[in-house]
Amino acid sequence: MKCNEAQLNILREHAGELVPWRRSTLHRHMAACAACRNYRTDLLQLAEAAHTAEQPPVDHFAMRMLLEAGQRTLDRRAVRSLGKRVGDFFKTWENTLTLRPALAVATAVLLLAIGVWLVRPHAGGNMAWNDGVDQQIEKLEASLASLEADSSRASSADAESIASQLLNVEG
Amino acid sequence: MDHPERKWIAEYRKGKVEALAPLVEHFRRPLYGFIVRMTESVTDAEDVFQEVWLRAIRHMDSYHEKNFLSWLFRIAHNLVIDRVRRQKPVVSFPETPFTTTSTRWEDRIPDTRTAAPDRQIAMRDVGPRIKVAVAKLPLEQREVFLMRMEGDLPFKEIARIQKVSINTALARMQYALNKLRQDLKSDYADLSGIRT
Repeated sequence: MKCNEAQLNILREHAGELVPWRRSTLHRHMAACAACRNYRTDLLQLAEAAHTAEQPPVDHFAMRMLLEAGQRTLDRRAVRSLGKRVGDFFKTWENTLTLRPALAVATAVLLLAIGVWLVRPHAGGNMAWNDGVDQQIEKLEASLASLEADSSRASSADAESIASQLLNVEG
Repeated sequence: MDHPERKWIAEYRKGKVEALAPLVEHFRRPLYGFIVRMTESVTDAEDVFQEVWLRAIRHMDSYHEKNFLSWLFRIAHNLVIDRVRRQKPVVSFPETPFTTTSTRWEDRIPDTRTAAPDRQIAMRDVGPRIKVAVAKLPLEQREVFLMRMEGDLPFKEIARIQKVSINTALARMQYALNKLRQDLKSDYADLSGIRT
């Protein structure tokens, strides 16, 4: 191993990025090379100096500003999250209608039927009239049946009169 | 490996804004350290630091990476690059310390738990010169150096942030280190006598 390569490996080893088999080669080289040993010592010395670097004083005002910024970010995130949920809800419905045309057509037909039923004119009045006619028909049919059953007392003229009334009503 | 930031990020996403405070504090030193040495100005560094966090907070929902610090560094990288482009030519490097306080990192090296007193004194003298030497590095090399040293980012991440190959990132680090060793040659010579 040459010194240049050894020095790169010293840097890698210091960063914890040297594979074990290269480490043993490096250490064999250093055992025989004073220059590389010194290189490593100087590196460690500088690292030691850096690790005892000054601790900047705590700036409470700056810290408070950071915490306020953090709170604002959390608030914005909460609003975004709510908006997203609402958006997702509508998007789901939109997708449902887009992806299922049969459902969309069925919904449209149902809505149309409901609309037609709602706008149908005087539906209630007609029903009442029909009910009245039915009741009249039933009453006349009952009378006719009664006369036919008791034919001795009833004259044919009565029966014909009732039958003609019934035909008029049905007609 | 412990990742306390994941818990804070999850809590914030659930709506607990207070979880941001420990998150910011946890990454303050490496992030600020990187920014202040890239911008070479405490005022600019504070602005960029604040802007990095504002952007990070705004886009927290889109964060899905493994390394949160790497993500912060990427934001900082973009902001610093924009700022450097706007401010060209870069101002000269100050010989005076960045801050007037006594908490300069160079003044506090090495770790008192491990270093002998004579070594501490020697490195205290070297400290400001290290800072000046780092400031003299070309922007890309300085950035790789600081990302490695301040953020402890692997070269894979650095390469991704700088949009270059891993070999390019490694080469930049090698150039940076060689220049620093050259600039600090006499200081290293002073220290060599007390190397263990």
